[in-house]
Amino acid sequence: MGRIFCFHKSNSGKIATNRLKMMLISDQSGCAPGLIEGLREELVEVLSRYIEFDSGKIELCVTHTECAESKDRMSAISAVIPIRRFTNMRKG
Amino acid sequence: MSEVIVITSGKGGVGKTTTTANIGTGLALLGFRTVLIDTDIGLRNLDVVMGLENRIIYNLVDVVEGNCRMKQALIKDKRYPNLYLLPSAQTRDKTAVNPGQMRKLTEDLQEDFDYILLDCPAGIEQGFQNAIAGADRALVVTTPEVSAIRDADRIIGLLEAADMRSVDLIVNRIRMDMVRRGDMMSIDDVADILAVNIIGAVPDDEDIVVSTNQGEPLVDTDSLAGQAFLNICKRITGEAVPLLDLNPQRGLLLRLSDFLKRA
Repeated sequence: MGRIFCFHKSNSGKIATNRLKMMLISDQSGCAPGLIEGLREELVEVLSRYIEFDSGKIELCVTHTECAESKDRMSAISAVIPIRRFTNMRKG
Repeated sequence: MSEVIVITSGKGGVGKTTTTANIGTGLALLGFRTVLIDTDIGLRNLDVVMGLENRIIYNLVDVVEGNCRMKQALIKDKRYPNLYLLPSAQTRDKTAVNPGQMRKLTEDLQEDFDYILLDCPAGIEQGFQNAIAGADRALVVTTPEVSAIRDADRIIGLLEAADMRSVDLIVNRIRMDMVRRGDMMSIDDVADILAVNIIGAVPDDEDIVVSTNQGEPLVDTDSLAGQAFLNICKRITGEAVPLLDLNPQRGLLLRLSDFLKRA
């Protein structure tokens, strides 16, 4: 009954979108997803010594640009980390 | 004794990967040590349906080329103690391995596993030849559609020509409401045309989409598709299980509207 009247809203579509983003990073960079996941985990570990942030909200993405000088195509990985606040003491 | 089973279809998009994920998980649930091999080199997807994509470091081609040991490439599914995945490579193509190497690979795995399941790519070219090379048994997946059944017939012919010991059929995405209306071939119609043993029929189920979104096979849920997959697993192990009643429990309102439509 819940389904018919939309009382219950499932979020599996959102989960699918988030998983796909991670898959495409790996596919486009040619880097094994286990390594990207390792990179993400270690980034969280290092950054959390300096800043407070929500580790679930980190966004990683791979962009392809042309190098201004040599005109070579290059890939860049960037991470967006929404900061809650800077910590005043270095932890760990 | 260990058994190597290839899941194949000829036509793409009929549910080979979903079937492999669910049957593999089901066999592990029944207590058998099971490994799933994604043989679709260049278009890997079994890891995604299993929800194990973030754990891949090495793959099938790495093992074949000796870049790593088998143990390093096998991903252990933490949810099911008996279940392992050997993922495919995403940046290579079907020519990266040959049937002889696949035969060797499956032979090596037979020492440690009861069931070795190979998810075959669509098509009948080298990817198909690689996937069937080491298999003792084939499960052909089809849907009740003309194009899929035609391709299944062709695949069954190729499997017989390759001396596959046993070939069974899975009819996927069946919609009993359409069968009742006469707008879809029934399981019996498909059986008559293909003249092959039907090891199970799986209903078209919305829960499959949700399960794939989440990367969680639905074989251990109480959904109708999940029960159908678990029954197939039991039949694979030799248990005699009657065909599932695919008519879902329908509420009074729906039955009333059916009745009014007919009237």
